[in-house]
Amino acid sequence: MWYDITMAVAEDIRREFLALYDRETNSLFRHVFLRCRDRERSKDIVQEAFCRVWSSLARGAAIEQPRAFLYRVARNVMIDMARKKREALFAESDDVDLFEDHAMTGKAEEDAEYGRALEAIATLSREYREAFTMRFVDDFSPKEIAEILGVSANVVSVRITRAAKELRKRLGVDHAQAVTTTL
Amino acid sequence: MSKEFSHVTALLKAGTKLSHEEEAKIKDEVVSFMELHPVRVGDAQTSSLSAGNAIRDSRNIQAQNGKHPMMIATIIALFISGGTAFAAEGSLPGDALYPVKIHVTEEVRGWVAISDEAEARWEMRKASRRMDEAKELEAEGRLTGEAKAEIEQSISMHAQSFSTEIKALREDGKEEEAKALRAEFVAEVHGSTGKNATTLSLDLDDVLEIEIEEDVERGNSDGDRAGTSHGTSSLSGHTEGEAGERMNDMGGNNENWNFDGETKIEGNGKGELEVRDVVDIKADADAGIRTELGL
Repeated sequence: MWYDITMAVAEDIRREFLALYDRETNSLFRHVFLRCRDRERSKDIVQEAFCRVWSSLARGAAIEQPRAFLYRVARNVMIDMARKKREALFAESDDVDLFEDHAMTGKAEEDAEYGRALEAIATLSREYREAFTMRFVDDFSPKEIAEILGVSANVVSVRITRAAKELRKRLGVDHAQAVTTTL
Repeated sequence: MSKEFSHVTALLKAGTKLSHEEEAKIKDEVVSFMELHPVRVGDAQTSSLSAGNAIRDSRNIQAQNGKHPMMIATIIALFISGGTAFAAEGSLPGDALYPVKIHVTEEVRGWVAISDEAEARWEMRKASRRMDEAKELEAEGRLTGEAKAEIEQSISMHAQSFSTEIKALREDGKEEEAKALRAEFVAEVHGSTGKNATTLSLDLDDVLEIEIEEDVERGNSDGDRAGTSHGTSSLSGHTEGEAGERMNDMGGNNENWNFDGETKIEGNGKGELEVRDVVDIKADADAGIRTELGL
């Protein structure tokens, strides 16, 4: 009977994990992609992150905040990959073809707009971009971001504020340029 | 701030997506990884993934946390003692193996009873086993005052546990089953203890009476529900108190329980308070009925 109960628990864990997978895959992919801007690598990172979370669970870990845990693991995977390949994973890579790098089904103008949004984010420094996207794209609270990044909530808030300031400037410039071009 | 950038963030959210094929491919890889690294049975107890919409029933978790260590300890005890448990089955109060029978073998057998109905039935069965023991002791001329007191106390304890299970059944809307079980209890246990009892001077009316009064309340439940809900909350308090009673009992000391039909139950220490609760509940229920009947 004890064995049966344990098997049932194992099945529950499996089910919960798959539910987490279905809920979070796309948003985790987006999070990773906005940081490394490499579609294939982002997919590898997502896969590896889920496998690592599963390994922890299978070894008996009690995960209280699965989403934050998943993102923290993904972040570690990115750091490990960057170390292994001795590549600056987080460096800006201007040669990436943005228009092939995302799943597009919409109209050309929408894709162009998406490209501009991506560009705008890309101009931010790594730390600012990370804080900004986690707050407004991934919808984490500053406290959650602080936990994932391992810094204080205060630091996170400062980064978000500065990122917003930078972005405002950047978008303002774009806007001015657009106005000048049309004149 | 979020509104200011909502256009940008909306674009990023909508535009950065995995295709269905990509998503399925990653899932395949992850699932095969899961199959290669299954949850180890021993570790499953501690694993948890408590998302906002965690599927796991918290009762399951309690069951594991609470029951497993005890289960393991007792199973080990059973293995070590070997035939002891079987020998204990036939023991009577006063025998050396009697504590093994009621605290170990019956405890283990109780684990099989998972549903409220099964648990109620098991409590009933235990009460009836106690009565058989009394009869056997009497036949052997060994029914001492002490053995008698012990048996009476056990029966009233089982009756109270039975009542609690019946309540749980009712709360689940299993009114029919609850009624049938109580009728069975009255026939099998109650009928042969109190009035026409063999030798036991035990009156379980006060335990079972609560049930009857609740019936009355339920019958009048169209009006003010306050009385009923009050009664219910007191009862759950009583249920918790039962653990204390049980602990006293386990201590195996010399409480003197008198069931005199006046719902005045005397004991010592904690047991007294718990049992008085039953009386209070009765009073509450009475008051509830009076209010509802406009008396």
